[in-house]
Amino acid sequence: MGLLVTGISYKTAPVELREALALDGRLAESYARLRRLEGMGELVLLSTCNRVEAYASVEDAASAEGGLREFFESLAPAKAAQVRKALHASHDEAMLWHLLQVASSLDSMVLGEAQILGQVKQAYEQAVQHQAVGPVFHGLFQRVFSAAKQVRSSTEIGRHAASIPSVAVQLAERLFGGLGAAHVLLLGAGDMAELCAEHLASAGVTRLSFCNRSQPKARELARRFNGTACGLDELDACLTGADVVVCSSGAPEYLIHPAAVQAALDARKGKPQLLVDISVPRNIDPAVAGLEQAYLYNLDDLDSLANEHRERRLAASHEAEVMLKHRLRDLREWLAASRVTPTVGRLSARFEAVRAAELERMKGKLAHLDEKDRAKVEALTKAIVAKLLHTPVSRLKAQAAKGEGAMRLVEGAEQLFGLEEGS
Amino acid sequence: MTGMPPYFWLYEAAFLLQAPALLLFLAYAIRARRAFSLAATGLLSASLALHLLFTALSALVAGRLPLASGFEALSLWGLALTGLVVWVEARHQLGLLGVFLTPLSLLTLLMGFRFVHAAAQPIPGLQDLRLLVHVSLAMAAYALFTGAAGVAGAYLVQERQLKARRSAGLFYQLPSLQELEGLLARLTLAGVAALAAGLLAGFAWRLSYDGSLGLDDPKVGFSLGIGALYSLGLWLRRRGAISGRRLAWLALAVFVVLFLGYYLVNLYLGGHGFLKPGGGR
Repeated sequence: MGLLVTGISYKTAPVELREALALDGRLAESYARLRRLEGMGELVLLSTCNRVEAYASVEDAASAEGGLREFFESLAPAKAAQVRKALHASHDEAMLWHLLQVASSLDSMVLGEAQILGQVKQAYEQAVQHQAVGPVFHGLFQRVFSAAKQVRSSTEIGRHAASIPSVAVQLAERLFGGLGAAHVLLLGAGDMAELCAEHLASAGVTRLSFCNRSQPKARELARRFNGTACGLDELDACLTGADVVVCSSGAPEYLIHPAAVQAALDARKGKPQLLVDISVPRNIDPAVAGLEQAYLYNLDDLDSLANEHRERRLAASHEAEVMLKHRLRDLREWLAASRVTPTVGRLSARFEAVRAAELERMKGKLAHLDEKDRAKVEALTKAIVAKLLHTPVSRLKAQAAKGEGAMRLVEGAEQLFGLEEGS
Repeated sequence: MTGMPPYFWLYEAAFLLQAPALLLFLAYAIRARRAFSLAATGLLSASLALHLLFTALSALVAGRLPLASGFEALSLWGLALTGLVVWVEARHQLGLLGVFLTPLSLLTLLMGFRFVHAAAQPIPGLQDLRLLVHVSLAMAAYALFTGAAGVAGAYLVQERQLKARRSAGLFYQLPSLQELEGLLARLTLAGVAALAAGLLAGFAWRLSYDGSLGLDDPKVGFSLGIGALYSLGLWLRRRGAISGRRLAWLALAVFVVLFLGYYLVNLYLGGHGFLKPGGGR
C-alpha cells in the first residue's frame, strides 16, 4: 500500500483555476468516480479556496496518480493543459509531511490562519460520510489533527493577528475582552468603512454606529448592519458612547480633537476608548494619544504591528516544523506497524484457535476438576500462548518500524503458520 | 516559637518550591508555553499542600490555632496568598498572575523567617471564636490586597504596552484591561469586606475582654487606616473620579503602605497594645 496526494494549491494555480476545480456541489460524484479507479484504497478530498487536493491510499502509486490527474483535468476540460501544469503530487512520506503542514497551516497563504484545520476536519468527515475512509486514514487523520492542535497550542503561530483589520480587532479585545458588548463608531461611510464593518461584525460586534457627512450613506450602512446613523454635527455626542472609534473618512482635516475625546472620556467615567485612524490624511489629532484612557492607533501603527506579527508567525513556524518532524517519525512508525497488524491479528487468532480446540479436546479428561481449577488451566494455557506469541509479534512490529524487509518477514510468518488470507 | 519544631522543614520546603514556580511563571511570560504555567501552578499547589500540613501540625502541637506570633501571622498571610494564586490559576487559567503574585508570596514567607525565633504572644482568650475569626479574616484581607497589587502590576504592564503601541509576549497572555480592572476592584472589595468583618469580630472580642474598642491600639488604627484608603479608592472609582492606570497605581501605593506598615507596627510599635505589659485590662 502506498500513500499519495495530488491536486493544486495557491502555490501552483491562480484563483481562476482553483475556482474551476473546486469540488463544492460535485463532491458525491467525485467520490463515486475516484473510488472506481483501479487500486484506489481510502480517499479524502479537500476543497478550499486555496487548494483542491485528493489524499489517497493506493496499491499502485503510478497508475493511481495517473487516474487522479485525469480526474482533475476532466473537471475543467477547457483548461486541461493549465491544470496538468499546476498539478502537484507527493508520495508516501512526502504525502504525510504535506498533510501535516497543510493541517497545521504551515502551507497556508496566510501562515498560521485558523480556518484550515477545521476545513481538513470537515473534508475528513465528508469522506467518512461517503464511506471512503478505512482504518488507515482514520488513524492517520486523527494523528494529524492532534499534531495540528499541538502546533496551535504550543507555538505562537496563531496568536498574532496578521492583517490590519484583525490587528485592530485584537487591540479592541486587549482593551475590552470580548467584543460582544462593545459599541463601535465608524466615522466615514465609504468602501473602507464598509469593509471594517464587515470585519467587526464577523468578529462578534453587534453595536455599530455610522457617522458621516452625508447622512443617507450612513443610514444605508446602518440599515445593512442593523446599527444606527448620525451626522458629523452629532459626532461629539456619539463619541461618548463609543468604546471603539474607527476613522476612515476622506476628510482633509482632523475631525476628532483632544477636547472632544477628553469630554467623552469624562462622560464615560474613566472607561477607556480605542481610536483607530486608518484615513489618509489622518482624521484624529495625534495629540489625542496623550490623553489618559485614550488609545490611538493610526495606519502606520497597525501596519507595523501586523508586520511584527507576521515575523512572529514565521519564527513560530520554524518551531512548528521541528514539532511536526517528531510527529512525522511517529506517523511513519505507526503506519509501518499498521501494515503488520492484519498478520499479527491472524497469528493471534490461529494460536487462540489451537488453544481453545486442545482445551475442548481435553474437556473429558479434565472433568474431575472443579470450577476453580478449570479456570486455572484456562489461564495457564492463555499465558503459554501469550508467551509464545510475544517474540514473533515484537519482532514483526520492530522490523516494520525499521521498514527494512518487513514485508518479507510478514510473508515468511504467513507461510510458516499458514496465515495466508482465505486459509 | 523559640525553637524550630522538627517539622519546620515543611515550611522551608513550601518556601523553596515557590522559587522554581516563579522561574517557571517568568519562563511562561517569555515563551508562552502552557506547560510552563501548568508546572508553575503545580509547584505552587505542592507548596500550598506542604504549608497547610505545616500549619495543621503547628496547630496540633501547640493545641491552638497558630495565630499568636509575627511568624504565624506571616505564615498565614503567605498561605492565603498562595491559595489565592492557585485558586485564580485553577479557575481562570490566566497563566501570568503568578509572575506578579509569586514574588509577593515568596517575600511574605521569607519575612516569616525573620520572626521565626520570636515567642508566640500569650494572647488572652485565644480560644475565643471571635478572635480566631478576627485574625483569619485579617490575614485573608491582606492576601486579597496582595492579590490586588499583583493584578495592578499586570494592569500597568498591559496598559503601557497598549499606549506604547508595542506587542511583546506579555501583551497576548494578560487579560484585557477591562478584565484586569474588574478583577482588581473585586479583589479590593473582597479585601475591604474581609478586613471590615475581621475588625468587627475583633471589636466584639475586645469589648468582652476589657470593655473598650481598642481604637488607640496601633494595629487597630493601622488596619482602619488601610481599610479607609482602599475604601476611598473604591468609592472614587464608583464615582468615575479614578480608574485605569491611576487606580492601579493607587492599589500599588496602598499595598506598599500596607506591607511596610505591617512590619513597622509589629516590629517597632509592638503590635496590639493589649499584648504589651500593662496593656489592656
